Amino acid sequence: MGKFIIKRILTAIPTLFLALTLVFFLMRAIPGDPIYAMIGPDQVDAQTYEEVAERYGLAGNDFEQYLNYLGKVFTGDWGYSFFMGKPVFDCIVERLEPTLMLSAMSLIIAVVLGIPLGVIGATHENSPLDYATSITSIIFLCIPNFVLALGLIYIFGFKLMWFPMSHYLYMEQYGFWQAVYSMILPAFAVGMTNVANVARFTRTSMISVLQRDYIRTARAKGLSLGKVRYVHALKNSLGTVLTVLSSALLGTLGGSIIVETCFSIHGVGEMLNKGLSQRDYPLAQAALLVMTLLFIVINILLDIGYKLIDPRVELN
Amino acid sequence: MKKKRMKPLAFIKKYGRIMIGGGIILAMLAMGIFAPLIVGPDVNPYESYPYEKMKMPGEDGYIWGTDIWGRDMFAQICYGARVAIGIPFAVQAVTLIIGTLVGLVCGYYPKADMIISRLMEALNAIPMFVIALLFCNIFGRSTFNFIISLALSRFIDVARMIRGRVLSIRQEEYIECEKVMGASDLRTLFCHVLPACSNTLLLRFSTGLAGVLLSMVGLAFMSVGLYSHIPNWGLQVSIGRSMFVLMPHLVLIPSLFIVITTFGFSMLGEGMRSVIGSGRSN
Repeated sequence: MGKFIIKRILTAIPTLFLALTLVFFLMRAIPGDPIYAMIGPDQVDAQTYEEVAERYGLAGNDFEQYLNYLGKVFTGDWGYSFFMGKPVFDCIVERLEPTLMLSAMSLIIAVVLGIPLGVIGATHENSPLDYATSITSIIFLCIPNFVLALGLIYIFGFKLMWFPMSHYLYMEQYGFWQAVYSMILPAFAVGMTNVANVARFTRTSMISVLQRDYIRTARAKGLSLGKVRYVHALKNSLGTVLTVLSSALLGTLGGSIIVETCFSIHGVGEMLNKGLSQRDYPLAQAALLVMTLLFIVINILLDIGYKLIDPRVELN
Repeated sequence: MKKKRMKPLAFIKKYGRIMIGGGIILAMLAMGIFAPLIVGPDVNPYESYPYEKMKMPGEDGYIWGTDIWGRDMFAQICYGARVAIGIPFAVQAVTLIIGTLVGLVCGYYPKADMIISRLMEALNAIPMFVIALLFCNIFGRSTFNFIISLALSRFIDVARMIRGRVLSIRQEEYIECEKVMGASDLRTLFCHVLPACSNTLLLRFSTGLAGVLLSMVGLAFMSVGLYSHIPNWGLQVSIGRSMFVLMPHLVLIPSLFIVITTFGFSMLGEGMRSVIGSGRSN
């Protein structure tokens, strides 16, 4: 197991490095000069231009900038945001909490609602209950997350006044439960698509497991239906579900950009959008780096979980 | 021999979804094509109306009222169908072309595969929506660039799948024969390997449409990509958002159309899956 984990972490490093490089050069491909965007093209002379470029790490050609960036990125010096007026690393630290909360809660929602729905569908195959759960998940797959976000804000925030309509309540100031409470609507807005996905995959995978020979053997030997279904069959269908969770996380991180904007949450997704639209390279780069890092770390955890469920799995 | 007729129930089970999905998409398509006949050529583009001039539904012959800039909602919905149906098809076509080419190269040339696969792995660690957002920012605003950006954000899956298929097909004897007979790589790839993937590709095409529509309206909601004078449901939601607590219909109507169309696309995809059969493709 230890060997597996180390191997998995080592394979993640090149991916992270390549993603970093790709993001860096893609950022530079965005048209527009950030220095002009910062100080305005009219009032800039050559000397100021150079000074500003020097200060923000924009001197030299792209490749020199890249080497410069690489030298610093592992020490936590992620550059200086053009518009926020402080080091990017500090911006990230502030904004990490809402995004982590959002991703964690939406994944929890996906698992807690999705797996039971899928199990119900699989154990009652082709019954009205199965059709009802299938249709519900298809409908949720068809609702874009911003529509869901606005709908939830309107119904539960504005009409019923059960939940706050926007903003995140920081843990430090308001305590853990208030923070969770303020994140419920956003988490559902991001998570419902994942619920539907998880439910569908659980259903298909469990149906195929239920048809296996060892399930019939277990039943024939006199094991109760409940035990066969919920212990033996469920455990063996969870592997597929874990792989869905990895793509669900990607969807969550992508969706967080939109949902954070809808709920005016100042998280990493919103920061990425801001950085992209203002040509604030360091800000957008850092936001993407954090997202990629988060994805890779959680993927490693999921792979370890997969190995725990199914020890036959090998890395190739 | 006479072909056996299907029982109605089995027929519905097999083709029902494709018919529902296809029906919805055709209806939307017709709405988009005949929009000039339904609502006239004028979408009254971008006039900075003061809020008081905004029309509520039913007022002055505007069935669904106007948006906050005084543009007819109904007309925008009709014209918006053009983008909502057209772009997913275009994006999927481009995605398949890029994905197939990359996949064929990767599967057939191990050296290129080393580099390209690593790159794709790295891209795969970035959310699809973010990649689309990045490319939209790089290429700037225009319909063509928007299509390319969306395709670039989703070709990886197709490329990986094709790569896998090519790797397994390469082992087959008939490819070996072809080589012995002196066929060039290009001929083998396009005359033998590609046709073997065609079923999977067709399935990929139809199951991906709904996803494209969703990311398209998402990007439009963030006002990235398409020109803002092209009627577009995602943009309509984004415009209506500032007033939606007071006038929910501004958001509700375009949202409903988005959901219905996405439903149509996903039914079409599901239907194709049950017709083509998902036996060997995932």
